[in-house]
Amino acid sequence: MADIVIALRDVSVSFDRNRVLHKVNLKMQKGETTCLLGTSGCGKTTTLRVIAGLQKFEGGSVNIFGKEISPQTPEKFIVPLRKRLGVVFQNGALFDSMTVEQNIGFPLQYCKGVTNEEQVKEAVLDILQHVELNKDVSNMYPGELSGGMRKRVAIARALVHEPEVLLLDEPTTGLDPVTARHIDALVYELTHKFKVAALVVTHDLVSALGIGDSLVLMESGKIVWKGSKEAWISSRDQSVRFFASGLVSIGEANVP
Amino acid sequence: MHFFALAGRQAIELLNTLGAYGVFSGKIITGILAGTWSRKDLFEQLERIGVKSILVVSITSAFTGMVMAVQTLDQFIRFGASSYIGGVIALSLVREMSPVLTGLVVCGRVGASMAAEIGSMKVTEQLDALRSFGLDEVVFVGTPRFLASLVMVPVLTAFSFFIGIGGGAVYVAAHGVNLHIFRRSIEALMDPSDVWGGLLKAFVFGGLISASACSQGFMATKGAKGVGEATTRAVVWGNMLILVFNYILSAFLFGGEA
Repeated sequence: MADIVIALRDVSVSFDRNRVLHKVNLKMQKGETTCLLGTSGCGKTTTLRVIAGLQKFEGGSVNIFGKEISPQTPEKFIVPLRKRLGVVFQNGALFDSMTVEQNIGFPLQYCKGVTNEEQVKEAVLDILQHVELNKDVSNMYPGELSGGMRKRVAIARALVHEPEVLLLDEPTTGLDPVTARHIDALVYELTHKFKVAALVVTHDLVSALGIGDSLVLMESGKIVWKGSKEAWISSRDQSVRFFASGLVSIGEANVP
Repeated sequence: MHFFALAGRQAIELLNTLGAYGVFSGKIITGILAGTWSRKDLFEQLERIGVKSILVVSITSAFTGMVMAVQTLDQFIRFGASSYIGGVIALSLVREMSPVLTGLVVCGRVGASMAAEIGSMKVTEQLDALRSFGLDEVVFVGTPRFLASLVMVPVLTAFSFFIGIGGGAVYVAAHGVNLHIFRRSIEALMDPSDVWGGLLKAFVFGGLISASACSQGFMATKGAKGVGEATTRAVVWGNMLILVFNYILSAFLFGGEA
């Protein structure tokens, strides 16, 4: 129980009377990578946003680092907790007007209060090495980077202030299969190296089976299955088989 | 029935928009001292709003001053009042033309780009990224823009006044009016309260421009189309508010003496 860093209890979210999350229960453990799977629009990203404190919820509660958050909890109570999280947004969400160095240095300044330019530069160059990017990239702007490089910079920015929890929204979406597997390997390596609890939102089963310690499947705003990677592979659950068969049938259809 | 439904919707939109501007301004005013925002960004915005608007404000003001001289000089000569032309042009510029024209020009040039910039930050999750680092995105992004507008619109207005006077002087001098008389009439007819009144208007317009631009940017939704619509609304609302508040401030500052 002491290893649980994040717990969602009966969390519900609606947009314009349309319920997108229905009594979601989820726990994240220290040092464990949880992959949240599901088809588009099933509520994966909304779940991630609730954990990140970016999405208001109307029912249930969220426990982050032992602090209980309800729908009535004021924003100022949530702000210090956000600084202990690292978020990788779907398209990177890098600041266009800043260089790579300024982007990565940003959380150091605003989450950790590091203002010494030399210290920031040193930390940026160090994390760039971790995400396998050349130091020359530090003076480039996000618009000058490839899709894979943008993802790596986004991961570097999310990790540089040493968060306790890493949240990744579709880290491999829009990438070619080779780059996607490189990003998977990087996420796996970094989450273990930095010993963070990670939540990876994805619909890429190959990616989830590669990096996840536990898998969670969502359907229409509800969690319908959760378990280990091994349990997923041997599961006879209808939802699990249905989700997995989508990939298999496409694969088979492409075989000449 | 359709007319009333449409009018009702427009009225609700008006109240929503004004409410959003009020909430934005309130948040910025409380966030200036207590909130986190970038001082470096303030200097960038001062340059963006002020320095980069100088050319367009100069051209607009110089030709406006000249047009005013064209329209008034003949009439003043006919009534033997050419010695007053400098003061009349100066009064029109300092009280009305410079603040309003500067406001409209800055709203079109800078307000549009502010709304588009913040709108695209919203739809590409850059504002969410700011929140994820524990920042209030409205205070962090809005404060430098709001403060820079409050400072630079009055500065540009003062600049516009001198350029406009220069434009008028060039025209009247070319048509035989002595520049010494032109200057004396400005000194005789203008009062320091006219200058302060004009600068107060510019200060208010600066606030309206940034409140309109930033609020519309923050309200942008639905991708590129939404950003385009937010940009249009920022300029349209900004311009309308400048003209409405110009009347209110004119009546308050310069009216009621009859």
